[in-house]
Amino acid sequence: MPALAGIWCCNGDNGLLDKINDFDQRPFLSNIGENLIVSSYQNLSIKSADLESAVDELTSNPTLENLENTRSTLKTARLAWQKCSPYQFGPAETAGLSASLNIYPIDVNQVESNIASGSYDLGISTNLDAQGFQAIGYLLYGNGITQDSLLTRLALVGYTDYLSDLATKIRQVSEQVYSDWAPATGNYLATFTSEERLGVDAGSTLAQLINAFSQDFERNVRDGKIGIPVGIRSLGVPVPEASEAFFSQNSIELLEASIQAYEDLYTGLGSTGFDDYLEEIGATATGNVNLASSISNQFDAIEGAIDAISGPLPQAIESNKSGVENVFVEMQRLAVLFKTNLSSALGVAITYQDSDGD
Amino acid sequence: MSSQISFKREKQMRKLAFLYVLIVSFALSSCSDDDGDDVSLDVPDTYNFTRDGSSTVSFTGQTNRLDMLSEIKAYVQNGDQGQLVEEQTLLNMFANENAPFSDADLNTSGKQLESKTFSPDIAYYKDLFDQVASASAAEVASPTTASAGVAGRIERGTSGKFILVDEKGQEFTQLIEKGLMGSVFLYQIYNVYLTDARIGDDLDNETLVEGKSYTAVEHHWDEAFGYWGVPIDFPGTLADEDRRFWANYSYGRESLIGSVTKLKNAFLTGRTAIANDVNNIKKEQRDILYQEFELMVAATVIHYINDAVSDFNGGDQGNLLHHLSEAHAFMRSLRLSPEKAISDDQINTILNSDFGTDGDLWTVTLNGLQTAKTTLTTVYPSLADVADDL
Repeated sequence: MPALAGIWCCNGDNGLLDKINDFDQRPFLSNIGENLIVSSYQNLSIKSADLESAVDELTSNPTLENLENTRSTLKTARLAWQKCSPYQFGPAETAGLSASLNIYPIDVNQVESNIASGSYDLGISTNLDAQGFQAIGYLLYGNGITQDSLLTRLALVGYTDYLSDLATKIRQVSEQVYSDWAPATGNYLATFTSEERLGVDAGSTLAQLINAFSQDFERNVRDGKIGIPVGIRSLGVPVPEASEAFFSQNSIELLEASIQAYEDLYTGLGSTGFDDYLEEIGATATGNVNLASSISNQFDAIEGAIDAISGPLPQAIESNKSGVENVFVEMQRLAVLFKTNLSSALGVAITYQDSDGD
Repeated sequence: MSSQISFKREKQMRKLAFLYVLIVSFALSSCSDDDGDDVSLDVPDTYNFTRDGSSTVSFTGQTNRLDMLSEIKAYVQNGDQGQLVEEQTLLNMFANENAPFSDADLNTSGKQLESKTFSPDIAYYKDLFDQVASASAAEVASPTTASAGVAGRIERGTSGKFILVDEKGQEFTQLIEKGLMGSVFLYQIYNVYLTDARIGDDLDNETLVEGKSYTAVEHHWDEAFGYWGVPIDFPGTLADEDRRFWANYSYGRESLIGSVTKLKNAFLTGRTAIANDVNNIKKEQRDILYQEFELMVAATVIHYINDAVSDFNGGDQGNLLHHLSEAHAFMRSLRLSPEKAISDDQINTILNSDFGTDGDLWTVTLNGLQTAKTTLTTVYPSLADVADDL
């Protein structure tokens, strides 16, 4: 209850509470806002425009060279997205960025039926799994068809129109989010770093940030990238077709980029990050160990677990299921450190699980 | 002995803790009930009111109806689990006929929900009972994954929890439970117990109801309080058995818009005013109740819109339908206040356009959700600053 703050008088050392309040969030939030969030959205905006241009080239001239070039821009745009995924709040959520870019697995039947009918609304929820990077991946890599058939297909107007529409939507939404954040335009950065949103209450920038990335890490990184494909939610039976980048087969590379994005956020890319915040307030985890080091070590553990698997994820699941499960286990440990230890050390309530309980 | 506090310094009440409060009225002038500006009331901090040492508070009928809805909800949830839900059982529970409840006291309580339901809505619920029975029977015969235009069950995210939805993706459990919270509980608060017909200035507020320790006006105010469902000692957090219906959603909105504190203060102050026959304060508090209940409902709709936006961004169709069904049912509750700030047209637009074409949740768009949210924050400007955090 906020009212208590004004009533209780200071009675000696408040320990951690005082330290939390002593930490100056301003340079911390400025660094994350400018050097991580805005620059990541700027990069995504550029890379998604490159993807759209490549798609334009390909659809007007479906050669093998243009196909390979488009595949390469798809991969670059996907890597750019990994850096943005932790920040799905505010403008990104309003614009539906993740909904437009990276819902998977896609529903191939829905994609084919949209192409066949030529009439579809990419904005409605039934088309959530018929668009984004993976739908483009499906059109650029096919699903077990020859390269010649693929190029023939990419010369058909239904396919070219759909591919263009998908790429255009990705570019538009990415530009929109960058524009909403950029100081020269929407300047959501100013909101993110504003004085009135300092602190740790519901509605503070810190609470918003921690809730967003903790949820993203749990839902999209731990479960989406590894847990669901390896069978964590299906009684241990793998669901390889639920892998990210199932058609282009580079899911592990995307996972590595995603973990790197989280490590960048955590360390603040060399400037003030969560590690500094935790160190400064002397935060500890279970057993009185230093929380900042625990988290840092956990990143190493995840990277070690990823290094121990190889090949496209579906193959890795096939040949080394326990190795893939181990990646999940190490990510689960980090998820707990974020959601339980880090949030409580900083005094932030996790609110993304339905507080109304049903 | 308690201290005297001015009504205008209501905020300071929070600081005062006393177990028992004698209800005394000092400053009432003899000539007028309406001379409230000079009135000081001893407002207790729990919903305990007494006369000659006996409690004057009673709302068992309301608690019975809350318990009935708990049983109805639990029964409808069988459908979410792929089991049969029978229409006749629901009709029996609605009307409390043929001893339908597992709590035998409810069966003999003489109370029921149907007769207290906003009458134009009765057919809506009976139709839902029919539909949920058919959909559940179809599921038992041949399990179907729900999809656009197809009723069936769908998993919420990867939770292992399923919901049974109609062909528009609307979840029966939410439509029935959240719906009846509005069509019975809020409707009764708004349109029965807080009306002039039940608590008006012209009513006899001296004669005690035969065999009781309370006046009729006091009792009506208590019945409104009973439908709110919050324990009389207003705990900091609700115990599990109290985490239901409007109490639960009021607590859910406490941290950002102070719903529990505001409703509590209004119920306590208004009840104290009635006990002291101070009509203008009673009416002020009644107005606050109308306003704060409406804000709490509107804020809850925004809360579920935010959840739906998050589900949409996560491609989580099951939770999207679940949260939109909640939003839909809470939105319907906004129809019921006679003093509502939102118009019927605005409500219809949100229900039948913003939340999908003709309420078909499968056709919802982020733009539609944003439009609904903007309508709500325009009608309820005090929610604008917290809208993204609700």
